[in-house]
Amino acid sequence: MHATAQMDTTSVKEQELHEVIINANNAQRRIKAVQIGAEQIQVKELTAAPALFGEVDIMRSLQLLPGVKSESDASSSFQVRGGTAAQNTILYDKSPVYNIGHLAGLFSSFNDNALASATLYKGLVPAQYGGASSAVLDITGRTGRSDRWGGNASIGLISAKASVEGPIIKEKLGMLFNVRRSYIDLFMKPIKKFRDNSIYFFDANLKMDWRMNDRNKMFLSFFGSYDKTRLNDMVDMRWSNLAGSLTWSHNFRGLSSSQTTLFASSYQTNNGIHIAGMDIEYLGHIRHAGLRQNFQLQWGHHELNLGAQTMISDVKSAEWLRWNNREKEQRKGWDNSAWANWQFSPIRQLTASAGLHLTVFSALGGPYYYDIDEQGNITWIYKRRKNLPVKTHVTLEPRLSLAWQPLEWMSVKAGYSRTSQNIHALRNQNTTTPFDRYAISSNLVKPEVADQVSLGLFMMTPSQAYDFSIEGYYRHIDNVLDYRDGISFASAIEIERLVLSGEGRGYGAEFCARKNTGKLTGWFSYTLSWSKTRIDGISQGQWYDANNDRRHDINIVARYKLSPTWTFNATWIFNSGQAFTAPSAKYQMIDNYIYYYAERNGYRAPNYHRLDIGATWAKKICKGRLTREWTFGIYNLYNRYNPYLITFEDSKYGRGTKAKQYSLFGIVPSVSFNLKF
Amino acid sequence: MNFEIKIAFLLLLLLLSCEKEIPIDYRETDQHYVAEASLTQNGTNVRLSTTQDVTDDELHDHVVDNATIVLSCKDYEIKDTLRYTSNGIYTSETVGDPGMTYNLDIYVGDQHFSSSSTMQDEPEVISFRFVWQKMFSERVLYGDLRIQDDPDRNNYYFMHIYRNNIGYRWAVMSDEKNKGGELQQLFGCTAESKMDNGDSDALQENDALRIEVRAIDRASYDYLYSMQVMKSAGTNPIPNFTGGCLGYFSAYSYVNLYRTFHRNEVEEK
Repeated sequence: MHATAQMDTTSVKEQELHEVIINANNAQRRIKAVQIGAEQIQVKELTAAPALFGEVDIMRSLQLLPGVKSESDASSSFQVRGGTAAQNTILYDKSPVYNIGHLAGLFSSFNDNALASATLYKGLVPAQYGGASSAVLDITGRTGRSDRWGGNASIGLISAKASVEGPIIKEKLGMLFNVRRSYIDLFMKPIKKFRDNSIYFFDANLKMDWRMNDRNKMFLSFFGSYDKTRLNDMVDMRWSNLAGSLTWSHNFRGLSSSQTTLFASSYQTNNGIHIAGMDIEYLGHIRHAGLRQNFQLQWGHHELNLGAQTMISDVKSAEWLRWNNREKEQRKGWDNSAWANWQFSPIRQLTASAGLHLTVFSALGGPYYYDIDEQGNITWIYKRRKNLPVKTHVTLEPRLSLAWQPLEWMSVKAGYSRTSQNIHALRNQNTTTPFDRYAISSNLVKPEVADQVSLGLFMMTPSQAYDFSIEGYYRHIDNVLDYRDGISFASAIEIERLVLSGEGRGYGAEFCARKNTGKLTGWFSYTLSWSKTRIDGISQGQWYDANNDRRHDINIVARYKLSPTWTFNATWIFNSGQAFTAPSAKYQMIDNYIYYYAERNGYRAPNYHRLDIGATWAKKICKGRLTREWTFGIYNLYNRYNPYLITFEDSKYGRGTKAKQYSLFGIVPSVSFNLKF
Repeated sequence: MNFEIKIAFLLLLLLLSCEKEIPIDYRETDQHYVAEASLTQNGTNVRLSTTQDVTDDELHDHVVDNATIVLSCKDYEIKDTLRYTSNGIYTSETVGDPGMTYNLDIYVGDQHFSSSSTMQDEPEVISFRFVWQKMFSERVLYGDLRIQDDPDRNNYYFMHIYRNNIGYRWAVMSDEKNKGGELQQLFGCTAESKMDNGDSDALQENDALRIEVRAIDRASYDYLYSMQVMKSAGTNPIPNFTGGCLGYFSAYSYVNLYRTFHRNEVEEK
């Protein structure tokens, strides 16, 4: 523990002790926790990573964990164990949210000030969760201080944010409000060239907690984010997320509890193109409203989670207005699930978590449904009465996790889970964009079902200063969707005509070594992984490397707390080349040379690596009532131009095909100022 | 509407800080035959060639001159063997009739490829003009083609602009956008600054333009549309020939419009 004579040493000591305890407990928790493949994340720990443009981003920090990868350079979307970002479920205070990126995914929509903690389940999820064939990220919003009013304000290169929190009624009713807005557009206005253009985002979080009595609490949570990009009056792209939940938490006598949550969320995208009298509008949305009930019953060493959830989903996969022709495909689904999970210790050193998650998903009548032939042509169209089930999919999902801890400092864990997903995202490119289309499971589209097994060894030193883990996994997914060859998202309004289904598999191993105590903390992680897809009608029906297949990933994260004033951090990231498709031959057709592709994803992009560094200077002033903080950072310190996009170009008359690599960022310095009160 | 994806990437391209050429160790692949075949109201034409290596820097056509190509129509009892002229081109005086389905069989070596296509009625073109559209800080030239669609059936169109007898821009379109109504197709030509700089791809004063509009069948549309989108997806067009031959066979009726490009006639949006 450290203190200086000029500071409020008591509060500093408590703060540092708190940090130490968190880190040390983390090591023990990682050894003891029965759930394999779960990463519990304390926001304070992860926001120590350097930031792009000075924006602290929990999603980018998440990507530093073993088995978790960025979708692309500087993207806030993440991929887990070979799955795509579209196969993850992100819950914010129990409400599902989608496409959580600002500025086309450069920053996540989550303001770190508003977050308390997050748990990432890397495919092996407890029975209480469902709806994702890859990973579940369960984020809990922070509640406000209950002792006094406070807040902070900060300004960086891209955005400014502010928060206020405190007790509306002391020890009874508290609130926390955060808001953030970018201001690039304000700088664009005075420049004549860019006056008619606009790029901005904002997000806001509100959380209120009401302590009704010793046994009952209520939480009201709200999250909203909005992005707008406008180019003259030609292009107008907007997308937004709204999510809200009301939770009643009741503690029974003893350790048992109940949580009842009413939630609703809406993701919306609205894009317009207006060129030379041609007006095209493209809209889409995903809306949910539901009720969730979970009982957590504890007696002795047993813990039983029993619960159920019902949710209505309204998915507009697309609505187009082209000329005077408006087309729309919108479906509703009714998603019901129930679960039971029993955690117990049959013998002293062994803990087991065994559960069952049952999903019953019904596509509802009202809109048209159809049958198609092998080429995707509609052979029959029909309609069922509104809100009556058209097709119901029942998926039983067993979950099992075992942790054997023969010694205090070591455990061996194994797990199996089956998960299913009924909201499917389809994209023509490798990254999340507002043009992603979403489809629900129906008479033609089956739920994606993933089975995963995992085995791992976890160890720590007796002092808990270091802990290590090595974990292997194998994952198989059925009913993976991809666009047919030669088809794009706009080829037809009926999305089921455009896709083919197949299977995917991923396997690999993750190694992680952490240092938890002392001035220098951090971790080293290495992931070796394979990810493959097989779809009849694509690549001659053979297995091919998935779009997101990357063999090696290395993350080195270091944080050095020089003094209570200065903290330094650095990360080094290495990914071996991502799979991509290159032409194998070319031929003349119409006016051009056309490429012929013999194999999908048969080539590797150049390796990706970069070094980020940062420094934070923090000082308490005004007798400790205010904290000033300056954060400096350099993203991509040695200015490596990493691959973001690879295209192919010919010289005149089809000669000399060249491969061109486009990079997103070189070296990016940043600075931000934060004031806490 | 790949336009929208292109716009999204255009925005990203604004952020891109660097582009550079990278070496690729291309793997060898078997050679494939390529056929570009048409049957119109004026005759039959097939160009047969083969694929070439991606790294092939030589300026020569990989033409095929030893094939047997047979055009047939069951309803008309036509069976016509095309004759070879030069440069991989095989021709016949057989003309097509709207509503009839024609088959094309190609025999080369021990391989056989076949395709079929149904000829459509002549399309009705309303107008073609050039317009300026402001994009960011400068004006971009667009060709604006309008077609009157026939409401009685599903229609598909292939539109090709020739500049001084050389292919310049092309696009395919279906009438799903506005069935029975007026269809619009925009052709992005060039930025004004490139015209001022005399860029070779930019239209110049007095350029002779021929706009050919074809009414094609569904199979031809599927092939050409998939070829249009394939560049961004890294996939091959939907096969039009059986047997593994690349390319397509299309029986179509067409009309031509002729224009001479004059910059002062370009309309503002």
